[in-house]
Amino acid sequence: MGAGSGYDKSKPGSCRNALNGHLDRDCRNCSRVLFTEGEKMAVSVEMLADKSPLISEELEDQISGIFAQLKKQVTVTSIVDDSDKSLEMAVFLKHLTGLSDKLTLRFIDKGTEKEADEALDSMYLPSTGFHTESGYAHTVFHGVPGGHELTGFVQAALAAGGTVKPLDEPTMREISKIKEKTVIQIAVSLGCHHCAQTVMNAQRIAEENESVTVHTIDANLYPSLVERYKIERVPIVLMDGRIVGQTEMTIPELCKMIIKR
Amino acid sequence: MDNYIHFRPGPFKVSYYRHGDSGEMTEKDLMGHWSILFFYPADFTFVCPTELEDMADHYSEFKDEGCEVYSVSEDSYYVHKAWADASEKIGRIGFPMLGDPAGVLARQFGVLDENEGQAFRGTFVLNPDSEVVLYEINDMGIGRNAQELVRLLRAAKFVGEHGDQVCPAKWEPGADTISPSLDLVGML
Repeated sequence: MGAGSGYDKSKPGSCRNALNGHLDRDCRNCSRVLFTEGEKMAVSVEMLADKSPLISEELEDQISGIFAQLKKQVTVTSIVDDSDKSLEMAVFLKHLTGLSDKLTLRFIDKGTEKEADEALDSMYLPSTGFHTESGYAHTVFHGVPGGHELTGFVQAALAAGGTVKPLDEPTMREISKIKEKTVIQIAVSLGCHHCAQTVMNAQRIAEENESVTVHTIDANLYPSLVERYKIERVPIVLMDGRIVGQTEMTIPELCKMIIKR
Repeated sequence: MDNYIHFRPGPFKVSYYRHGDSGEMTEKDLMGHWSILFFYPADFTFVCPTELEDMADHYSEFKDEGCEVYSVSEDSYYVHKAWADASEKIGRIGFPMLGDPAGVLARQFGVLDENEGQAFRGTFVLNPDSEVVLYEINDMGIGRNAQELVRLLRAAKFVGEHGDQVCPAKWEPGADTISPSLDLVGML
């Protein structure tokens, strides 16, 4: 079985099997819902709690209104492991995707689907992206999109579903100048509004130019990332394994940074 | 004055004692590099030595950041010299110890206790344009922390170089996920 920390009985969905009211970590049946001996299974969506403590009724109404603008089907796809954070994300996604009939949900284990591993980068789990008939969108979130990051996450879902906020012509021209395949990682804190704005700006570029992929990473969950880059403030923008931005960045600033590398 | 952010000191001339030497400095000497003005009540007292020793212990870190430290009290520089001669620890201080007996500097920075003729424990960080970018003023008995001041200086330098569109990262491993909020303005 996987390792993990304790659970909080007052929080539905926080136990390993996430059945409402059933919170026994040592229960064989609970454990079997998610994992069999010697072999990992994907999280069973049906067994998860329907409601996430992260989504209030008020937020439900707001998100439902936004998701009404989705134009096509999107499968929210998440690579999860046996961590508490993956479980929290699983319940969150079930609640979120339940707010629109244009959204479906799918969980997979690391190493079971090559395309997903490559598109979603299974280094920092849980890792969540958006799949449509066109393939995987070029925006990925690592962690749980709480705090200010929810806005960017919802924006990314909308974009995958065919709805984006128009950009002016000069900005579109700058974005179109990016020809080389580019992967940007943005280390964020959930409470940082500068991070959220940088993420949304980078995501707009990825939404308009297939050469660009953006990975948003809640650095608080991944000490190895913090240690590697000595991260003391956020946002930190990474490209080709090095820090290329240490402050909020606009779309033109991001484009310029990408092109001149 | 409502606060001292962006305050730039006016003309002044004070004497200083520094490691056996003495001299004079004016407001012009604050230009072109980061500076910390470290006010304290008086020489030959109890809390003050520990603060100054703490600053001396971290002096190399301040210098590494391109910052000069100036301690300031209302004692003359003669008293500073006498204190340095009398105390091995004070004698090790490598930064200029300014003498401000006329209260010129202390009044400019609003830290002079007029009744006592001593300065409150005020710390002012000035950028290379000689503008105050951060400061704290403690009452007499409350000591300061040089390590924390190093951190603040680095943060101030970062903002000075990169702008203020950034948040400090206070990692709290294991903390609950922050409740999400949705910023609908400009979403579509």
